[in-house]
Amino acid sequence: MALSKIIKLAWRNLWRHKRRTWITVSSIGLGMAFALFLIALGDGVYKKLIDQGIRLEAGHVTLEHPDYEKAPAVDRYVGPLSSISKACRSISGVKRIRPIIRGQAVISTSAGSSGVGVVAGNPEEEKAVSLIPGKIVEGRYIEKGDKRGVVIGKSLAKRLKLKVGKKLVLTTNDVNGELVNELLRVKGIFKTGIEEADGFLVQVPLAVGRRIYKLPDDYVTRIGLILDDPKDQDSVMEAVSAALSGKNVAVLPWQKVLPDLSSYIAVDKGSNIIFQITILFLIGFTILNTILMSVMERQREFATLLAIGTSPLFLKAQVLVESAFIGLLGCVLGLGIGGSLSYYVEKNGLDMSSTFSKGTSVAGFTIDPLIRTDLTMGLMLWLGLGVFLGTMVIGLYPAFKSGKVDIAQTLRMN
Amino acid sequence: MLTLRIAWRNLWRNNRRTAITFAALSLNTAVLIASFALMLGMLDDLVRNATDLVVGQVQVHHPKYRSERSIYDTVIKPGDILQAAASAGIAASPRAYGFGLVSHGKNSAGARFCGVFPEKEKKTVELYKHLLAGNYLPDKPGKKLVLGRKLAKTLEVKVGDEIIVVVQAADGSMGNDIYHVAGILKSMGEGIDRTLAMVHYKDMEDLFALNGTFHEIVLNSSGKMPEDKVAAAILPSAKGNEVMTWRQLMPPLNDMLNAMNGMLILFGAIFFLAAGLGVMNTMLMSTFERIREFGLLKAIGATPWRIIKEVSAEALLLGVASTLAGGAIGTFLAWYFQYHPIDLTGFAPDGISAMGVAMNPEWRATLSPETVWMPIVVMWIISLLAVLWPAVRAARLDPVKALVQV
Repeated sequence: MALSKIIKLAWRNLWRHKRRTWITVSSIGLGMAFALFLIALGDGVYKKLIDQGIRLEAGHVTLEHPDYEKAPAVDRYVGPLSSISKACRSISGVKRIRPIIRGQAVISTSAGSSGVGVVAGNPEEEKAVSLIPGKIVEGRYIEKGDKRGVVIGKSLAKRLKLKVGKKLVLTTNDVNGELVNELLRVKGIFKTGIEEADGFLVQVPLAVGRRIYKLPDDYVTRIGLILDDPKDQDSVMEAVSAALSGKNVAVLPWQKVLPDLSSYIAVDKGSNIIFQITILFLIGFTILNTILMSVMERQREFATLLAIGTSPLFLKAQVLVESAFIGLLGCVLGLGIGGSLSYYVEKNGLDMSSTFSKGTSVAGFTIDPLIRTDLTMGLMLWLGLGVFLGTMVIGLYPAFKSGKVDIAQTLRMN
Repeated sequence: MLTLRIAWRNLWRNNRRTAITFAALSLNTAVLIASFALMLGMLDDLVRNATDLVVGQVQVHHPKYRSERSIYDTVIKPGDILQAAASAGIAASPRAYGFGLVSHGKNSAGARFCGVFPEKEKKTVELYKHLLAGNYLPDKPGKKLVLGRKLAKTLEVKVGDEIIVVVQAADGSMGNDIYHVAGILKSMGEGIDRTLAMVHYKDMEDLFALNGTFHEIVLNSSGKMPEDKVAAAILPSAKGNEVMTWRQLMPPLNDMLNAMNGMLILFGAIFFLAAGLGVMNTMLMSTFERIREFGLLKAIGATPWRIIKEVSAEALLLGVASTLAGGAIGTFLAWYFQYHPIDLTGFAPDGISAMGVAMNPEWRATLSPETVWMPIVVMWIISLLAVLWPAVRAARLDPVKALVQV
């Protein structure tokens, strides 16, 4: 009974001072919208970086020989592929299984030679996962039947003066440590904009890779698992480890396979966290200020209420409920504005091309100048709860203050 | 003058309100200055990383070298360039490159040899500070190698291990020798990590039969002058050679920097909005609160203009005082972070690289005049606008209505 009365009174009170309420609510709401957008923007950039890295190297989860990570050599292979694939396919959350043979080699032409990384994969699988098939600028991507087909990056092609249809010699050590030479023909040239790929990677069909490195049938050096949702990584890893226990297979997260990217993101996230803390601090301070100010403004009102016999406890409860309403309204406003802004940028992207120099093709990690936010329910929930609780904590002060107003002194003022 | 005196007294009549507004303004100003300095510092760090670690500000090559990578396309008259750099106070390091095979046990890999004079190299770039294990090349030749991280991993070698090198020398003969690993570099980017084998130039000269020639001269003023100036200083002495700044040498990095710049501008805008909102709402609230007071003033005969004047004077006084305080705090913070960088090493103990360039996981602020005066001026404008709106409303209000408003 009393509670519903308090709620009713608190709600009406808010709208007796529309302006004050709106100023406070807008402080909370807009501030929260800014924070939400900022955080979602940062997360969006990381998501893109991770996605690119995974598409180049393997998958969200990678299966390899237990010693492969220590010193990646082709004689540390993993398999048999057919039984591992079968086990992984039954695990929910696994979208694709991508077997590759990853090796080192030197390729040479009459124009010179260069150390390269070899990625041998199933062309159909690669087309669905890898970044490279979609970035062919000359010729075509490799196909399953290509006996000597290879695709190379633009910068590598330029360095070695290679064109589509030209021959190159790939020299490497096979699994037995023997030096092998293989004549390959360039089928296509890709340009991803990532220098690590364009100047360093070559792709051949899986069968060609197996022939070059003399890997046994049904064995590869790496099996990448692409997940439906990257957030399921831990649970999928557990399920895969359980399914493959007893086999000589290491189950690794992408962070282990791409330590460079992982540490770059970790450091960048560190700086981003500082920005996020700063903006949350600014917002918290604004909320504190507006609420403090509105309490001062209302001293007279509190004094009048207490003078006509409102119990201090009732008044305190009412002020606290008002804060709760304000916090709630602020959250709704903040999630509404921040959420729809982030959603829009996630769907349409934010064009940053004006900040890129003209003339040079836009390259690097941020290949396309569209940056997108990554808005998640978790973020919205977490931020909403945080802001609401923060407002409530700040609201405790005016609530306690309201019951303790010096009635006579305050009413005499003004 | 009278207006200012009245404004001053008015501020102290309600010192709690003044204190809250003062706190809002000064804190927001301080936070803006400090975070802008940190954002600027982030960009400066990236440029510094790009130039000071390996690449330098400017590089000189034979015009055909970068496309052909031929051992015969050597820098023309390197002595003149080195002399011009020395007289302009720019550090310069000549380098020679060559390809070869390195092996250890049954592991072997292709490597790109880089011959340097360690004492010159150390004065020009800071690569020598970024070792994962072992030491940098000693100043005297001694058949030592410093290897890229992934190359060392592929060969499965540690510091002190023996390495057999086989190369094709400039005179067409095969050069082979036994070297020892002096050190292994931290993560410096794909190219260096996978292929770089650094040796003393004198050793390299013997191995490749180079006969005193170089393929690259790296110039770095370590921030004393911009890259264009460095290029201009040595240009006359580098006739026939190709002179390029790091921005031309590494367009992807240049693009990344620009993208980062764009991101930071966006972040900065969001920060400005958040801080502006805080100040504006606080000022709005504190002025609307006083509408009754303004009504009273009007009722006893104050002109609307006088009310606006007084309120603006108050805002200006408060604005100047609090932004000065906030400016001082913010400048101090920025200065502090300039000399005590935020250490992000904990996030990546092995070192990090992006776009083929290693980064220093230390985050330093850059204090520049713009980062200080811009937030201050914007805060003035915001606070003035935030009081003018309610003041104008109050000034135009019917005094009776203003007095009725509680």
